[in-house]
Amino acid sequence: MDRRGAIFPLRPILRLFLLGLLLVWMTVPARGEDRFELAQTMRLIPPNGPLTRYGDITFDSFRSGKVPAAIFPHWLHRARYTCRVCHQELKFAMSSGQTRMSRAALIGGKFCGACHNGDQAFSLRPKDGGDNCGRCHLDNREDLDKKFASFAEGLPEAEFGNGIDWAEAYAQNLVQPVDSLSGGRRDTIGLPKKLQKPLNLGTSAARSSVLFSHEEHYAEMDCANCHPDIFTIVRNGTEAFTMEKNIYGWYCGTCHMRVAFPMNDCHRCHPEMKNGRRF
Amino acid sequence: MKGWGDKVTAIGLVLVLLVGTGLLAHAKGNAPKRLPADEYGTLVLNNYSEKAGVRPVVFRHWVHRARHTCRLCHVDIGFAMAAGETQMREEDNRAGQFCGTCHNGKEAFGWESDRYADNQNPNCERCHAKSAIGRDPINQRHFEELRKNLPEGRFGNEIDWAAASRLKKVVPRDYIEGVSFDRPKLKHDQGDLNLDSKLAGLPDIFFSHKEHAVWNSCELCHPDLFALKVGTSDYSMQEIFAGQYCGVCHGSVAFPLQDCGRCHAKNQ
Repeated sequence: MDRRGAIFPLRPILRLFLLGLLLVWMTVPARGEDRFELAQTMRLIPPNGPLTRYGDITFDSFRSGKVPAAIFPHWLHRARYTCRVCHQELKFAMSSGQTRMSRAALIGGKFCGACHNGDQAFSLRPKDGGDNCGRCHLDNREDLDKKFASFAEGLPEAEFGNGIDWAEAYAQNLVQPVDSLSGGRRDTIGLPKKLQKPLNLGTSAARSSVLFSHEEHYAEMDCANCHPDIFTIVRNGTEAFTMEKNIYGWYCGTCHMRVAFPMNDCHRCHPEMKNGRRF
Repeated sequence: MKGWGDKVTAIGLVLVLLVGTGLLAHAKGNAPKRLPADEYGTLVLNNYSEKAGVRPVVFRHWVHRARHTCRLCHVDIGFAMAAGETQMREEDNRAGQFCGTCHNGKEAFGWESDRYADNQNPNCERCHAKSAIGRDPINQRHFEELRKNLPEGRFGNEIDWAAASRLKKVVPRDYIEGVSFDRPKLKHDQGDLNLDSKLAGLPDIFFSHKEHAVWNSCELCHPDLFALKVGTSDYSMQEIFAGQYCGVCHGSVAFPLQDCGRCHAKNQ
């Protein structure tokens, strides 16, 4: 046997693996990153990943190597502010990497800097002193993980995502997020009467039909967070609105795969589907 | 032959690594992208450019509306209201029509120069732009300079243009000698309209003729988009989202329709 056999002892397996990869690659939809991103997401979703890291965003666009990437924990922020505060008032994009943040903008009071100014939250401005850099540019996550563990204690449990049933926590006033940075109620329009009762979204099978509550979503968001970018305003008018698209992060999946409860929690949208339910 | 097989496997491995790194680098979320504030209202004019071997023109509404009213270009100069429908060519501009009305080296930068041969003028690239939409640092810088002095808006350009004109921070020009025709001053006493929102619980629509008349003249909207008599044009929010009625401007140039509360503003 020549030496090459020793270098590639697993040659047949490796070839099979490569062939498999090729097949997967060929079946990737037009937007190649979707399937890859799903894999990334699935890796992080409990039971595969730790509860504490669900919804975390890593900011490392500049990859300077000099400072550790900034970690943004959604759970910490959503306990205090509704989604719309950041995604509407502060103009954060709904997808990571699309918000044009810069050091100058943050220090000038935009984006994170709107609260992290030493007033509402710890300051990120160097001139304010204090050693706060490391609170976002985390070297070591242990403290954050511990903080999550003590925060989550006593909150209603969910099977997936953060392991917290946020909707129930709001209902019981265990978390009371602020709705607007300008103080008091937001300055947008109210929910029309017609949309106050749950919408019955038919699906291909009766047992999987969805009860969608505008009211619960409106509690956290403005109309413009979803309409018309993600969903049209015509009832049943959103094209190609399928479960597969959802899972790949479109439509409901824009939030319900990254921050809001992930879609392995089937019965929360499909109340008749109880198969997977453990309690 | 054994060696050949190993080589294929090795090359395959390298390829997988390369493709994998590429995927990692491009792994971005797929929530629908909104244009950045400095590119809201940006048009690419390419009816003839690429066929003639030059780059398409990138037209930015914000630059122009900070200085001129809508009607100056869309009525007096005669630009269509939908992208691609103005069938203009380079010759037309050079003859002083369309863009050439102002871009003649007098009102605004032009193409003629003693210092450069034809088509070598650096001004060409100011419209036939090299940078793709959203990736033009010069545009971003100029936009930020303008924006920091203007009232903030929620969507679109993230500038509240109406407030900017009320506060006289933007005073758009409405007349060009030799191009604009004299017209009687618009009466602003048509008043504000209170339009029924058709949906219980949704605030009614507050429509101000006065706010619109700062930028527009009657003929821009009447009678093509809206009949003259209140209540005779029947339209729905769906049609508006599809780019009809209010949606002709609101959604492409004027503040977008996500800003619900700016029109549904009565009985709040």
